[in-house]
Amino acid sequence: MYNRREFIKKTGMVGALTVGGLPVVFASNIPSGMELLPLQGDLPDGKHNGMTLLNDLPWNIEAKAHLLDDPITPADKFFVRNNGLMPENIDASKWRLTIDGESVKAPKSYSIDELKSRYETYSYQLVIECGGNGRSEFNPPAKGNQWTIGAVACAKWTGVRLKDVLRDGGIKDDAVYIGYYGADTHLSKDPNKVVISRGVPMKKAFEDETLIAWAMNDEDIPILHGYPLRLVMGGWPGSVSGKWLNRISVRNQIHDGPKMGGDSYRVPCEAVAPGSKVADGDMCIIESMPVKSLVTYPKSGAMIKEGQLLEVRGHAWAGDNKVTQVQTSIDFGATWQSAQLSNPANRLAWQRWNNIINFPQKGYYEVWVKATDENGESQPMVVPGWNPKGYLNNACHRIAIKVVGA
Amino acid sequence: MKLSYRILASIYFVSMLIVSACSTQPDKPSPIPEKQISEFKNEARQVLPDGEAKELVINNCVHCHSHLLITQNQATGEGWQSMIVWMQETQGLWPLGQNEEAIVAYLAKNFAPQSTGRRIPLVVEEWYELK
Repeated sequence: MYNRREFIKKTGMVGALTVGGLPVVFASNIPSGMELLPLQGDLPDGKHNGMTLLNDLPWNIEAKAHLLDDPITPADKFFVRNNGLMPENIDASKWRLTIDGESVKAPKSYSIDELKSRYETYSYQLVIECGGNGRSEFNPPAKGNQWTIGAVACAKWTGVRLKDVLRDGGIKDDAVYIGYYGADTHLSKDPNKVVISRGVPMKKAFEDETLIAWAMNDEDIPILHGYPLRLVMGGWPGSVSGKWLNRISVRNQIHDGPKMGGDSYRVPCEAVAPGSKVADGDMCIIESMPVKSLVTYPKSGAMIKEGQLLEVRGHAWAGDNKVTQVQTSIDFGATWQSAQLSNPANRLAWQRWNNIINFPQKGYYEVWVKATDENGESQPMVVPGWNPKGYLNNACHRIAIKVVGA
Repeated sequence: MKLSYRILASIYFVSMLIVSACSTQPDKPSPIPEKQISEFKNEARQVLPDGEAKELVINNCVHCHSHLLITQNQATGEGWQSMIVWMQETQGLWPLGQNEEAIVAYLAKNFAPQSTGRRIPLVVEEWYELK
């Protein structure tokens, strides 16, 4: 694909002001107060140029498997799933987080500094995966961003525990759910329209690893990922981790914000035939994500010499659960070989696996990887059950390898 | 696919019997019983999607086989081209001349390969040497 950024780099132009990684050549001529138009088709600042742009209004960007090889995903390789327009001109020192809802004893409001000083700070590596990761493989096709495999990441998040803040403010016995609100703007630019407001049952909200975070990988959270404050929960669809967080409502009912109902982040409670129409009452909210794994090394398409051993490695994760086994296959699933599997850095972090493969002869191979969780649940070789919006595709990841003459 | 080969095989045998008659001109006899040719063509007219070359396809193809052999197959332009060559080399299909391009384009557009399997083959952007 033609890449404007590379082109400009080669022509050797330099400039202090950049858009989408590009220098603005006549920057000194721009009248003060004038905003530059974003470049269409280009990735936003701060993203690795190997990332795949799925949509630019709003931003939806995914990684490729080999870009996710780091144990902790750096910001430039972290997928983006935005639903609306990002807030602008944020002053973090003036940011407020409000805790309200039917089930709080009294509404409260905190500055970020108050959160930092009043409650203990924790850091966790947490897997965030878009509920629609893998959507592109479903048939009949589902509408929406056609994620392949790269809408998953595991960064280090730092903040305070949601439960510490909620307990301190006091919540009533009838609390069943929390719902977040953020400062993003609806694509219609109607300021009264909420873009997305999802949540989780109290049990998930009260887990140790559920954070109100201000840092990702020891730096301010990038704007694309929710600066200055984000609710972060590992193991559940990424949409429960609300960005640009400014309000959390403690509810006495299942939260009913936008994208909590209909086909959004919900799947048929009972399996349906592909293409079925499913009644609203027969849809259930997605909670813990299914067991899954990736080959992050080598990049698909590697050619190796006959007799050359191949190290393959990647990550495995399983929603709220732990992965207990990872296997690889080079014969399309006919036989499986156990891989080495490490423990997660903490609960809800992904686990590193690796294996050494000796190919029997020249030819085309696929390396498949399959993880199994502590409940004995494993990954399907083809696609899992169809659902209207194409969620939860945890089919095994495959890469292509050619073994050629030495 | 098996079915189409079986149909093609039977067409082959039938066409061998009448090869001299069916080899060059659309107005020559075909493996379809003569009384039914217009019936076959009418059915194809109802089934095949509209397009510029639809009538060309009906007149040149639904002479030795029904629309079923078209609609159950999927191929790129190159693939359809090679099927035409195969029919010309072995089944007595006449030269399509200046109509060939339009016929191939029609088939490639309306009967393109679809990834209807439960998982499609891997697409490798670029093969590279791993040291």
